[in-house]
Amino acid sequence: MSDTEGQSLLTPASFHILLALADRERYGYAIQQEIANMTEGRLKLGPGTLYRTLNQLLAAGWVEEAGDQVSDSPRREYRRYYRLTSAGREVARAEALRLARLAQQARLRGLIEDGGIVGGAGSPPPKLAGGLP
Amino acid sequence: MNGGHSSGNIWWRFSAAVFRWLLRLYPRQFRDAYSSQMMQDFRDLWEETALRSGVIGVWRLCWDTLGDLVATAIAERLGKDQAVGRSIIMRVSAVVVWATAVYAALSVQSINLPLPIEVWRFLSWGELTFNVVFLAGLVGLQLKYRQRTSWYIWLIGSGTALTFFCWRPLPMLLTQWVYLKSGIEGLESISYIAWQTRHVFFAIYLVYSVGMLAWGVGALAKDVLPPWTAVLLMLFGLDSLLRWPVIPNEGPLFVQFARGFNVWAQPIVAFGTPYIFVRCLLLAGLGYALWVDNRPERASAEQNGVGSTPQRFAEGVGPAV
Repeated sequence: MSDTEGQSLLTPASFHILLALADRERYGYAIQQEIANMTEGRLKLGPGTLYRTLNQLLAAGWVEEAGDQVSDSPRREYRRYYRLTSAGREVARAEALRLARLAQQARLRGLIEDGGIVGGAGSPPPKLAGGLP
Repeated sequence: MNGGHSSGNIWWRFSAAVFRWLLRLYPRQFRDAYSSQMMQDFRDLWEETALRSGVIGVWRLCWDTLGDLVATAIAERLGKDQAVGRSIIMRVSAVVVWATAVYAALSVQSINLPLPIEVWRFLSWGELTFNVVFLAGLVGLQLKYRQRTSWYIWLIGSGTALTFFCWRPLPMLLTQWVYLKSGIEGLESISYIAWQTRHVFFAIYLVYSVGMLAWGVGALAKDVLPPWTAVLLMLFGLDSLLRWPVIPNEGPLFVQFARGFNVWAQPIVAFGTPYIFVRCLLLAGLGYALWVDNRPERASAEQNGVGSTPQRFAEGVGPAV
């Protein structure tokens, strides 16, 4: 896969899925829950987005199926589990490093402090350019 | 709503049936691979939401899921980004709203033409169609502006529009249902009397008008819609609020003071056609606002742009997915 193709595949949704699978294999709903927890509820992937992105990640070889297993949910039913491949782990690691470097630059320029964004979480968000609301 | 035991819940059965039907929008290959997993996930999500957030939470979940499924199904079929799928829906919505404006204008004009197109006339069925199309068109707004605030604002507006749309059949169905369940005689006649006195109609109309106005004001104040789209929404609400008391033969002011004195209704009748043309122009403006604000290239740029993710997180929107 070329860099351009890889770059266009690594959307925020796919990066979050890779992150959710970084520590253990999970099934679809568990991935959704993990992403919601990671982002404090700010990102909730719908089922369509989740499986469409998973399908792309499977095709790219970044994620693979780990078979049907009895889930740890109260229903104890069989669910299809997914896990990261070594290529997927490498991509996620590279993207995390890139974002960490950006965050470091933002910290150096006083945009963020160690504890969070300068101005606090309650400060009004900046307006977007170009007429977006 | 009983979370955790969805199988016997009528709302769950309805949601599941709609969800299952929407899965048909995906290409067969995708559907064969993922539909059962998607169904399981939706069930878990539905139960958890019902338990934690109740009816409102489930309502919101269903709307979000509806948008998600339609947008991703379009994107899957076209082989494009989800964001492009969403923008296509919104562009279609814009065209529908715009087409309604043109259609309404033509139908009003047809009143003055010696053409056998009575059925076209906007005046006879205008509000009903207007609300259905208006609602369908504005689903697009929710798909794009997925902030929590925008969702509540959208709920106020679309909920009231939907209420107005359902004002005639819904209570009838409800009373019928209660009658079948309880066996209490006379419910239908109560319902009939309510329509005859028109109190129910005007109560719903008032809620609708205020809701539309609040929708526009809220969207403008919270900056969740482009300003001129919000202003157009406000104008719709204001227009409805101002005109409902004097609707000929029906409005309470007319009924109270002018029954039998048709002179009160003359200004409304005289200015009826230009007035509806103004409404058509508002509709056309709203459709145009939806159109220009949802260009596919902009959606794609938001999806892949380097700067978009932090900006959207700062706004509490989350990434474009």
